[in-house]
Amino acid sequence: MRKYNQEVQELLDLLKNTNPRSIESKKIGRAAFLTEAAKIKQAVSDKAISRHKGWNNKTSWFSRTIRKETSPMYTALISAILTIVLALGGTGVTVAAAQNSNSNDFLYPVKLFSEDMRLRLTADPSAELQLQADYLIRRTTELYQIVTDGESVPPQLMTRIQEQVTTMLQQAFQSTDPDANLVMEQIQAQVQLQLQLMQQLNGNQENALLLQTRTRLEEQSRLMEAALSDPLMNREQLQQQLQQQIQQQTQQQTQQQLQEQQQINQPQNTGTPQWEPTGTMGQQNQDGGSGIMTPAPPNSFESGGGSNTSIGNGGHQP
Amino acid sequence: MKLFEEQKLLYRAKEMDMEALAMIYDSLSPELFNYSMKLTGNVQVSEDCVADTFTRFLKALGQKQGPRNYLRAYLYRMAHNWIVDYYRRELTVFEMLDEHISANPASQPDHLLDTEAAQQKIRSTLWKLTEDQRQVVSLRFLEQWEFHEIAVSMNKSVGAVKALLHRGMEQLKGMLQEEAEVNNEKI
Repeated sequence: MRKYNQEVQELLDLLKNTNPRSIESKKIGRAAFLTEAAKIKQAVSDKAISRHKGWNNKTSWFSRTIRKETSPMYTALISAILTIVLALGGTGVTVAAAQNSNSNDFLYPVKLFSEDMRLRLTADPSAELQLQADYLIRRTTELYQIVTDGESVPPQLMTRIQEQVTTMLQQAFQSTDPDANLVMEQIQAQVQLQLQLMQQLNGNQENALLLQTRTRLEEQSRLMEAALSDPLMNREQLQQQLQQQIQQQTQQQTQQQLQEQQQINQPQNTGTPQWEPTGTMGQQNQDGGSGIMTPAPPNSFESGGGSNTSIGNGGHQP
Repeated sequence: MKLFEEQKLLYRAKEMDMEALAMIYDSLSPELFNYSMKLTGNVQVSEDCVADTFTRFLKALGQKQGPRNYLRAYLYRMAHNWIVDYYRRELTVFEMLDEHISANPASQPDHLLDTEAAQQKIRSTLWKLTEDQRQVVSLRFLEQWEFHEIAVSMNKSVGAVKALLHRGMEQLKGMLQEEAEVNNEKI
């Protein structure tokens, strides 16, 4: 391929010798573009204003048709209709408002819920994958907002990113659609951006969930790289590796919850710390040693865990 | 423009943020102009191509449409389609190129004429490829895009892009060899 590439490329290189655009033409083009943009912006804004202008005059027919004495049935019917409209309309407004919320906002769970609902209503697997890819971009934007504002990372964002990337990879690995690789490239691009942003966060905020998410994304990024560099790579093998990662993640989360539960329960029992380890510090988990460790008595802490590169709470002192 | 910066700008452009739109124009219009110049060799056609591409982009934004993620790839695709449509609509590429070359031969030095003739030769050969092959070869060798960028721009897989490039380059080489042989026979 190199032989003819070089030959033809030399000829193609000739086309690169073009005169750059004149500054004058660029100025004229830019001005025309911005004028057109301003017109379109104005047109969009005008429509919004005209929708509300004089609405009470346009609906005056309504006041003329209402009778002065209304029947009880009529009142009940109107009330029922109003209740339904307000309930549904109110929900719609809330969901619409939630779409612009950031991960630290009150309405953020509504945004996530609406995304879940939309995904459930999407029947076509490739459309669902594309929708997931769009939602992953939203997560990157939310993360960027947190970095820019210097806010703390909400756990739900980290959890959501982990869940989304894992689900998308599962779907991409299972998919026989030739465009699945294209979507995987989009996921890879987003994951790389998210990792970059998380590195910026890391200087100020060290927490287990953030570290866990970073490690998980790095592992998944490597899997994607392998899949993209070799399209013939066995997808079953990739799925198995991903499945192992998911199992490790589930174990870590369960153990983390147990640990938190123990920490909550301890003061209520005796008032002094009582260590009842469910495992031995320094021993690796059944999942191959990359999972977290269970709590152990403080006096045995230094003796173990030296070679363990675990993430999550297990890697830190209790 | 980095991908994330591009996405942030696109997000703002969708809200018709004038500053973002100006930044998009400033950063991408020279690239699109050069791309059009490489394929057409005509300044006026390239100016029209840039203007129409950005106007279509604005209209798409006004209708709440337009690119989802990849702005640069979207604009290149639109520009490329515009050039293809233009040649289909107006006149054949060979007529166009001949007019351009023979516009004023006496006023140009010989070496410039040679360069333009060579440019015309490769351009007209390039236009004999299929649309997809031409786009892949142009983006890869004239614009130095990565395979995954081309794949996104053309909505194809990386494997398909590589296959198109391979076939395109094979055909280009074959056509250029044929032409050289015909010229030798004439001499």
